Amino acid sequence: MSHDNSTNHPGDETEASAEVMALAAFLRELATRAERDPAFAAGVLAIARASGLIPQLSDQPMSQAAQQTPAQRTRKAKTSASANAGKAGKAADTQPTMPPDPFKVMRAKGEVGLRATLDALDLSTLRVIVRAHRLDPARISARWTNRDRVIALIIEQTRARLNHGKAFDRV
Amino acid sequence: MPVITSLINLKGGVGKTTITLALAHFLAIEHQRRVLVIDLDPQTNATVCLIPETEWKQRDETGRTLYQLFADQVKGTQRFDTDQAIVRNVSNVGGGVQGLDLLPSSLQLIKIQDRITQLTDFDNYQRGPIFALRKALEGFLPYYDHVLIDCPPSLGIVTLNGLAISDSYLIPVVPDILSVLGIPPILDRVEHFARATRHNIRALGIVISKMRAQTILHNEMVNRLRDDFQARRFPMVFETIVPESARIAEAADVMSPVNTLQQKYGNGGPYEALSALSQEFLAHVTR
Repeated sequence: MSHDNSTNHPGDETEASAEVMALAAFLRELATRAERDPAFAAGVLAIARASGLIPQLSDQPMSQAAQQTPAQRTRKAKTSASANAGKAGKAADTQPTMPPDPFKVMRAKGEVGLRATLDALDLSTLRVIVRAHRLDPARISARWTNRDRVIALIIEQTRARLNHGKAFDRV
Repeated sequence: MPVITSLINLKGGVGKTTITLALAHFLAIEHQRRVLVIDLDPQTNATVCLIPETEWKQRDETGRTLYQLFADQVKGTQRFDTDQAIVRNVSNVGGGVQGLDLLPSSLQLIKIQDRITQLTDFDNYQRGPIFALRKALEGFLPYYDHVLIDCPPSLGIVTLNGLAISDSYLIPVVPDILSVLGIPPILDRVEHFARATRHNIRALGIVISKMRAQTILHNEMVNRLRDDFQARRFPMVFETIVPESARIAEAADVMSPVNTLQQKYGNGGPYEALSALSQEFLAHVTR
């Protein structure tokens, strides 16, 4: 009796399908946790985007580029190039960063600290924060292109939720 | 005079407040009715879904909530001023809904509930502050098309104050065993109260809320409720079923900015169901 190693053994198929099952179970678990835990979902999303696994969804790539003059585009490209050159040495050490939790920041640094933290973020990251913490369930801010407006929303909603129930203290 | 409807169930967490608020919003916005929400529940949930809790606190501390009305009954004072207590154009939709008003509740009601109860004779209702709310609202009711009363999960003196001005009542239920168990005692007690006070209070129907369509128990209980209506044991069951929904739960946040009811309740299931419920409600109350 001879065995042909090039063909699949029935056991291999079982093993392969077991692997597929395990992968499917892992992805299901990941999806379940992501749905239950917005902060976890935001973290996974940030890593996936940084690794290029999921394309970076810029909030204004087309409109902003379309509105810029050629001179503006050149200036921006130069600024970006020099910034990249400065960061080149550090690039390898850069880890994908999770968007900050506005509740933790406001508890630790107060409203001024939260505003300073948010001021350093781009619109797309601000939107990740809004979505991750369901700060705008009606999504009325989805069309806002003004960063300051989104920052004001995050601060207002964070403050409101942190103060939620305080009026009921010691009635 | 307005149509005055109490929302009652002896069990908590069956959607009384959710349905009160949804009906109030849809009647005011989609049907242009003038609506007064009376929050009789000491948990104050309907109140803080319609006004920020800081505003409620300020009002409570200055005697502009229903606590003052009942405290007056206990203390023999007359400090409650209805006009001052009613909050006009409330809600987070569009920064306030024209024609949607609130008579706010108070957590402090918990402290005096027992004392009011002691004043009351529950056999023939001849003694006790059963009609305190009715007296306070004299002269204000004609302004409204609808008054919706969010009752606490009991049939105590505070709820009876609501029933004393109501011409109909709705029973929200989650289609499960425990919340359905509470229906016969409500029907009996309201009938007893209506007879004793010579006042007709119509059982408008049962509204099924927090329905999980994938649950066998929920589906079976809906069928049972409809069968019980056919057998004339229970009042009519509304055709519209309000689903369990995270979006409806989130709609309770009065600090969340929204401009429309679609944004508040979420397009699709919840919004459609609540809109249909308000239409069905109107069809029944005007019948």
